[in-house]
Amino acid sequence: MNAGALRRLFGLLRKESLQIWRDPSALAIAFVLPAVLLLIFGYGVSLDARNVPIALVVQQPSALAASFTSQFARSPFFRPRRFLTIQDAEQAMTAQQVQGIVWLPSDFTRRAEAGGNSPIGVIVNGVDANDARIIEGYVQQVWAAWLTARAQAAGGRAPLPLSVQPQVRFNPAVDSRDYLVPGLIAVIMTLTGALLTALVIAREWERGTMEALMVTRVTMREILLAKLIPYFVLGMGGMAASVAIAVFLFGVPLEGSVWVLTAASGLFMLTALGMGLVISSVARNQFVAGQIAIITTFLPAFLLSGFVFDINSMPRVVQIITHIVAARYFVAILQSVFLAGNVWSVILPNALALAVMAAIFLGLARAITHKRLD
Amino acid sequence: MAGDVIAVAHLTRRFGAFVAVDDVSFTVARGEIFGLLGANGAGKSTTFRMLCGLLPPTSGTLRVAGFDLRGAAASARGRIGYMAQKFSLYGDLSVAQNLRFFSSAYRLTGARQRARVAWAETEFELGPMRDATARDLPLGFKQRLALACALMHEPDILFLDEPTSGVDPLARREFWRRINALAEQGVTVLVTTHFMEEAEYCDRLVIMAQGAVLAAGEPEAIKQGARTATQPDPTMEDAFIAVIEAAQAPAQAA
Repeated sequence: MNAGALRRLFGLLRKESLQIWRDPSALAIAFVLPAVLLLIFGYGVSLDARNVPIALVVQQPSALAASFTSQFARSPFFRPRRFLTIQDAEQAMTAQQVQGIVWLPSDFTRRAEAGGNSPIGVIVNGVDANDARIIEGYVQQVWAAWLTARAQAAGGRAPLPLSVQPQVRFNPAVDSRDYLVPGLIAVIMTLTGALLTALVIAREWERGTMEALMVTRVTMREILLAKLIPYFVLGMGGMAASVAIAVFLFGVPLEGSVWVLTAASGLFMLTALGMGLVISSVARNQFVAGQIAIITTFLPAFLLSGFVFDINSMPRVVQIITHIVAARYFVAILQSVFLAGNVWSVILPNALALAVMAAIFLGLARAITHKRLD
Repeated sequence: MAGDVIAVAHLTRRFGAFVAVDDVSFTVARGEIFGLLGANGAGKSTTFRMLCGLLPPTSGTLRVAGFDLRGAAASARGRIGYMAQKFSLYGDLSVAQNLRFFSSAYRLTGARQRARVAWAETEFELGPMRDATARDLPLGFKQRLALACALMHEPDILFLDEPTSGVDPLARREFWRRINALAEQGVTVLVTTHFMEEAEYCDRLVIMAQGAVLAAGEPEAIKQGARTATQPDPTMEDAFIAVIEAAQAPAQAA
């Protein structure tokens, strides 16, 4: 690029910055949109079961039954409610007042004290299969804790021949928010990046300024660069704000280095902006461009990036399709950098994939955007 | 003719089955004001966009300022100025920012750029409005600003697409005074319009309908062509209607 072209590019960049300053809609897309989405999803989406309302039915009160039920009251996972009959409890579950029922039948105490096998009934609302499995697991944990405590109190050893000691790595608090928020940032940044370039170019088409630009001696490469550079800066600003929200508001740990995070974000932002440029060469009004951006970037990122739905448990065909979703690679990097640290065996291949994606989308944008009106 | 700045031969543009411009041929000499007269949808803007290299022709040849636009659109662009039908400057930038931006887009730099911006502010009396946001300007000022932006690089050829639509008669006369002055300096001006009285400002013009040229020549000659016993002194509007009706008559008879 010669000196004249560079000066022309500066002219374009100056104009773009003035426009961003005078019409803050781009600032809103870069900063307000990610913040709002992150707050909504961050607070709204949680896979943890806490304070789950649960029905306790004790048909024949006894000291033993009381010690068992008090274990539920102590658990952070449950908010127990007492019911006298199993019918009442079932009614409450149908009305969605409780998520599950723990039922101590009338012969519970007698059979337990006789040293025999004393069954308790557990009924779980299976409408949300994920919740149901989590509740089931928690009930078993409470049950096991109670048995252990009882055995220790009796001075004997635990009646269970073996005990499971779950150990969770990379997210010791097993807080699904810590796990979700990094992935969420990837999904939101896909939308932000694509919208930034798609909307501002569509706006130039809508207002006829693109036509005016095209008759000047500015080249298409200069026009594309003049869009890419300022919105890259804005997008990275939005990314930084999102990371700040994740760390300082949601308390997500940031185990890896900030530089790795910045470099990976840069690659991903180029990909997302490139997608926006490609969209803008197809859609020449802001409404259509926005629709296409949501359908082609946000939805696939949400469903196929593995940020909440595990890719390995998807059907084979869908797994293959996820490879063209750029957010997939960024989700893997972000989850690693936030929760596990600089795991190069995860970061390097995914960063390479992002670099390839960025090159493909930017190259495609350059190839299909012509200085023509048809 | 050797002095022709623009030569168009058998120019055709189709959009699918629709023929927007149908076998149009004309030439324009240096310093001439050449008009394309026709109703909306007659193919004027499509012809213009092809002349400016914004739209490739389906068939036919185009030479602008000596350049074949199929191959050397970029070189031709340095010689042409274009004022679109719709206000197409940056509405959220100020008058001075628009002038500065378009001058840089036309590759002006340094002292020359400053001189041209100053020239535009004086010549078009935009100085007092230099910090006003372009979107909020009165229509007459917007049009002057658009013309100034198209003239920043002192083009040899100026394309004006419906330049005076929506502008009051006084501003329109003022506008044509400027165009005449430019033509006298040797700038070739192509203008599309659907205002019949504006056709009188042109040295020569073509009447277009449904993509085709129906009549061509000096305004006086076109008017004379429409002279009948009942209309001894036809206006341009009378002539225009006569030309359109004559073109439709054979179709109706068939």
